Amino acid sequence: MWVYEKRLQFPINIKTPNAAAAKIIMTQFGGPDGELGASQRYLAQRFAMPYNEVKGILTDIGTEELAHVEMICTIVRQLTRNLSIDEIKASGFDTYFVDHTVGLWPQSAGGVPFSSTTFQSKGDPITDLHEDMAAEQKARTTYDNILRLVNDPDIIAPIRFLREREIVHFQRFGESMRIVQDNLDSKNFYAFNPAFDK
Amino acid sequence: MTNKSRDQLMCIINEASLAVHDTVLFLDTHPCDKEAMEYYQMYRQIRNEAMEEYRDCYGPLSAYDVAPSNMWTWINDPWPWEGEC
Repeated sequence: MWVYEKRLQFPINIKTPNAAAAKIIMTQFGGPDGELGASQRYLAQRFAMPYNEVKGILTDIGTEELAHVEMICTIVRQLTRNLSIDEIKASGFDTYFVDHTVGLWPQSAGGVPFSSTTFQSKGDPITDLHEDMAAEQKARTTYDNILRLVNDPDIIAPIRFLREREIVHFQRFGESMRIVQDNLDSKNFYAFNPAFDK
Repeated sequence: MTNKSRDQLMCIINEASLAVHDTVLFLDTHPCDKEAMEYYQMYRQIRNEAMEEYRDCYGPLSAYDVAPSNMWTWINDPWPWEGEC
């Protein structure tokens, strides 16, 4: 069960609207390496995870990703409020605006709708944790790319925070992998699937 | 009552909450680390005190923590995405 806390994980206060930046940053809401997919990946995978340390990490990182969804949506919201129709047309945001006005809807920067096909829940701890470590690096690269594309300090501060969290999560998933392997046959990690065979 | 502004208290809550949360993740994979447990307890207390002070002066941050009143204060502004928090 979850309880909402009425605050952001990191403060966001963007003073200048920028529809072009919103269209790019939106990809971390509903894109292939975005926060929505991250939260659903970890919160789905935990049900087949046999080890307590890793049940904990999947639950707690999955929960933090929900707070990151809220941060990304907040950035997009603040970048798109108070826009004139001329600014919307000039920035290329018109192709989003026609379907969603300035409401939030999960899609990639290229307009592809959010899809669960961007993540896996394989029911095998080694496979799932490799996916999770790769996912954190892919998200980190996306934030690096966003930082190349924006120059407003009000946007840069929360994006840098989110980028740092990807690195912390990668570290914790690496430790989780070690814990899983410590519980397996040290001569053959693939001798059995601890989430299925016993 | 408090001598801290809403922004100052929110800043303490955000910083203490991140310290607590980051330590939660560390403890998940290092459940026997005594130093991390002490760090967790220290920041948990700072966070709890700031959350109570904030609730008493500026309103609840959780719908499970609304003080007795004639008004349902949970729905009052500011909501986090509106740029005030």
